[in-house]
Amino acid sequence: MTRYDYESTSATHKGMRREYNEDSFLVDPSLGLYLVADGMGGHQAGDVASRLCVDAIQKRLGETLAHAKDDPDALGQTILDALNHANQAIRRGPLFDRQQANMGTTVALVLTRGDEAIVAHVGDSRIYRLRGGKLIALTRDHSFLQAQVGAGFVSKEEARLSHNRNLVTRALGMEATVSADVGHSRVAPGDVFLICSDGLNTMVSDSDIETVLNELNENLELTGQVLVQVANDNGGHDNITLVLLRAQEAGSPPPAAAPRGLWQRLFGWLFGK
Amino acid sequence: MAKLLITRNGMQPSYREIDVERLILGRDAECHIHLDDPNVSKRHAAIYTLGNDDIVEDLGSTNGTILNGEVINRHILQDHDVVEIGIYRLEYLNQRAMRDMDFDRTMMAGQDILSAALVGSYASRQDAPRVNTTRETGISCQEGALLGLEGAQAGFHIPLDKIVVPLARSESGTPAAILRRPQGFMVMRVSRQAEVRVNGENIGEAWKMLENDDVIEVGRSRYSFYLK
Repeated sequence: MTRYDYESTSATHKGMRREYNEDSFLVDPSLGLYLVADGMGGHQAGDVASRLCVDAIQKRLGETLAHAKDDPDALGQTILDALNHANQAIRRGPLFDRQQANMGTTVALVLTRGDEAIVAHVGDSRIYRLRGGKLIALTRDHSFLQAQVGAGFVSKEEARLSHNRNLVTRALGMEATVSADVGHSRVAPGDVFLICSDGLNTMVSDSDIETVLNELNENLELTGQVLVQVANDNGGHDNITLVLLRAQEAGSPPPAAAPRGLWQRLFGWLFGK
Repeated sequence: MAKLLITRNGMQPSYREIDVERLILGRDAECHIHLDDPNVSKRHAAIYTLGNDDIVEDLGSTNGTILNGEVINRHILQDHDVVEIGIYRLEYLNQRAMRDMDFDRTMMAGQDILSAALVGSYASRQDAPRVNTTRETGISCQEGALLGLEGAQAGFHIPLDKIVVPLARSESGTPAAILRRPQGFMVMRVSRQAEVRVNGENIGEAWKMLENDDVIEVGRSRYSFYLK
């Protein structure tokens, strides 16, 4: 089995129109857990919900992952259990603060284990994968618009005119039990995973995201910053949060950078720079 | 709630709120909106509501339903759309749509929507076409390009026609790139080992806005930037 090292980065911004950032994210390389949550609900309750989600999932998986079997189905069950814990934490929240009633959050997460990436999501936060220069979405939004298109009520072309893009049909905190999509993807060297809130993909087209990832992913941190900047340049209607991770075979040098760095250091030394 | 501003033959307009799930328009007196004109079919068109959308649909009428000057079968109504049926003109007014950011705030769909039979069973169908939710930005950018002065691209014009264009890329990596923004073009260092100079000055980690005739140096490559 191929083992992978992951380089990761994150970026978050409240956007150009919102007063608050209600997104939360997590980068936990020791658990192999990478997550974005987009909170919703009035009076900043969304911020509370997305944080509760992140904390509850990290805490629960910190307890359970060590005992989980190393196969995708068992790990999927472990993730579902953690999502249910987060769901309960969010639903308990309103007892302490009436303003937080009806709060909820989306969640999209990647868990890396060996040569597998387990992906899970609830709501309209997305997980994309760049492989061989092509970007594909590994998730399908739990949104009213996606459901209408899936049912053939609205065509893909008409969907651009719809006002329903913001209505999620599933969220943590919404119902007593969680209904999540869980899948897994065999990792290949050089894979880049992008986890994002809808503030990115409603403002930046998939083809522009693909271009930015292809051209810049050698510098993952810059890639994240540029994606946020492009979303804001296009209007930044919502909070923008993203987590990026890139897989490389364990022990191999990061792509491209090392040989050139050596050469340049030598060059710099020769010419006294 | 959205409403229709209804004008008959240019006469005094009246308002009608879209307050039923499926609003029928036609010559028949039973219709929610009675259109008294021999060119209108008995049941001519319907406006139904799906979530935040109001959708107008022609019901197989004889003379058709015109939307903003074009014959349509079905259309998701946008604020200030004009529907013409016979001698009637109906302007769609959606005050929520005017404050368009309302529709960007992620919200949980209400129970009314969730209980609609169409949602659950289709929502997770993996073979369904994936919806592109990217909005029309209406943002326009200037056109710019680089002229290679030295290096592998010397003498070539490089159009800056993508969101990012890499510079002096080789097998060993991408030292720099140009980002296209509404206010202009910015050059940035990509590889942490690279050195990028604009008019002789090292930009370090900064993103540098380019001006006409700026000279960019990346390793042994040199470019001149120009706006078209």
